[in-house]
Amino acid sequence: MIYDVRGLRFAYPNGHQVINDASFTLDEGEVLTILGPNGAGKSTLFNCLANIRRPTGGEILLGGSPMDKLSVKEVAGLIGYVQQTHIAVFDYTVIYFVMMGRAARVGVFSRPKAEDRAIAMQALETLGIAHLAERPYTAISGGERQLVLIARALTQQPKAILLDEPTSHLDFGRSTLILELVRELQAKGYSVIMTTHDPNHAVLLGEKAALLDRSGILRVGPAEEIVTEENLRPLYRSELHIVDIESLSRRACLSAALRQSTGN
Amino acid sequence: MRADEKRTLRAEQRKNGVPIAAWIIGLSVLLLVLVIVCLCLGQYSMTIPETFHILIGKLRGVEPDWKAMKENVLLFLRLPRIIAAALVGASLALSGSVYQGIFRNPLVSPDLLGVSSGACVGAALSILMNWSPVTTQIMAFVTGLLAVALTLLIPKLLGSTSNIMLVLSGVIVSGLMGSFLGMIKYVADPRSQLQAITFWQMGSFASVRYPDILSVLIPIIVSMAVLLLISWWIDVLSMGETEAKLLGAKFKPIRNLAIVCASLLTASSVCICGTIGWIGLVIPHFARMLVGAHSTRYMPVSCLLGAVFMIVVDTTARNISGMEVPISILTSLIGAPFYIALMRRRKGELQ
Repeated sequence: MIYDVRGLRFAYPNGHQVINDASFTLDEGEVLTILGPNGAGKSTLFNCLANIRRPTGGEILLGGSPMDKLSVKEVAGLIGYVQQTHIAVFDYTVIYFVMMGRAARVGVFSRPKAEDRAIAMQALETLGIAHLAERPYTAISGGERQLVLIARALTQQPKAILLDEPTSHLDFGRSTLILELVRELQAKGYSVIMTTHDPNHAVLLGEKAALLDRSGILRVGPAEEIVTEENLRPLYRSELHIVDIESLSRRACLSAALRQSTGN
Repeated sequence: MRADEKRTLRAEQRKNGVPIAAWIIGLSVLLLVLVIVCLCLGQYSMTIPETFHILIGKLRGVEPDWKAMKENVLLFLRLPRIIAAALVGASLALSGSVYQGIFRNPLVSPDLLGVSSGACVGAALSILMNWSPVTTQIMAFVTGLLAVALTLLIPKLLGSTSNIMLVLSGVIVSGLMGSFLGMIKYVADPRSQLQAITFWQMGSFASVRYPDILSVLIPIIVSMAVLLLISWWIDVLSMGETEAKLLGAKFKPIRNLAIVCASLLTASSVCICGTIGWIGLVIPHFARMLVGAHSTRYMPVSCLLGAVFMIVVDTTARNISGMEVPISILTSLIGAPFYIALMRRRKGELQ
């Protein structure tokens, strides 16, 4: 068991309750897709799961130990968290950037060794971007950066990978590639938790899915039971439809036709 | 491949193609050559063979067959000056590099947390009270570090120790020190004390002797060694606090160690030669342009370049006219256009 989250609650110091009740478990090699409207607190939930924010209630067991008993290094050795935004300041080369994933395993007065470099290089190869190794991180495209960030998370050699809206900056084709990558990571034994704005991603991955609604309650279940019209319509406050597409032999989530403009 | 892509790629290959050891050896040789050349230059000029003759003669302990005057100028006026300039240049360049890394801002200089402005207050106070030059140095060192301590304390009291709070706190403390300095200058005797304070504020190596160097040698060497050892971590910290923690770095202990060492470097420099601007801002940029942004590579290069630049500036300062020119006047005169040139070359990368 990687994650065992029980009755998680989180409120900001000003009293704003973001997460009211979140419970789920995640085993090795499991994928969980979290859906939720803007502002529902998906990133806050992730920050709790990654030990950046301390929950105000409930508990998170990571690899069997309570999260708040684990050190920064121990957490970094278990989970690799790819945040939604990364602001680059200095033009480090891609390989150097990815090697920073070894921080949890490098001594304070030391620096990464050849073996750390080899691990970083292997992560780049896994993601098919080994050719970028010597390019400056500031000079590659947004999609490539996303892959580099994931490579850095892999370099941590974690058990679970957290992807916060990994497709938000990517075009249609790249988004599909990321989903395929999630599958590959799963096949390699990683657990993956991913947030997304697109219910189709949950459908395509077809694993565990979860909905975080505006009241901060997380509902978890198999994707086919969670991604339904009854669940999603109130969640997104939108007339969406789940339809079976025969030619692709899968379900898809589509929005209804736009309202006619009244011309005023 | 587009032309500009090709250019960045070529620039990258150039940066990574030359082994860093070659840069370090090359710059060390340059530094050594400069030391010899600058020893010869001055009001009382000497030839290079003459200088070698005296230096080697002194080292082997032979009976002097040269004028005692020459020996004095060489060994007790110029050599300490040059050593001090090299140490100060390297210290300021390194502490600037460190601050730019941990505050994730290439426009930051070593004075960000108020070291120099604090040191100025201590030195000015000591001059105002007519205390000895040694006391002035100690006062500068102590108040410089006190100012940094205050900068670190304010965010703690407010319960938020983020980098932004720290930078704001540095602005507050620098402002406060500025007003203290203003008060001291206001009450100082305009004919003697005010002039001494102003001169001190502009920096000079004219009065540096061996005991001054010895008094700061240990803090400088220890801080430099620590910072060069943790240079890789400075890059991890440059990812920002949250990301560095996610990667498994103990952010605050490493950041605070870096701040303490960098402040010690700046305070040590300020206390032997007054405040000197620009070096800590410009040299790190220059070093990054030469060898790339990786701290493990550019920080040692930054140190050596700082030393080289400072020796050149100080030699210019004592040769340009019959009178000593304050260092800061020259560093800003050279630094400002130099910085513009660097910005021009890097504008594509800094957008």
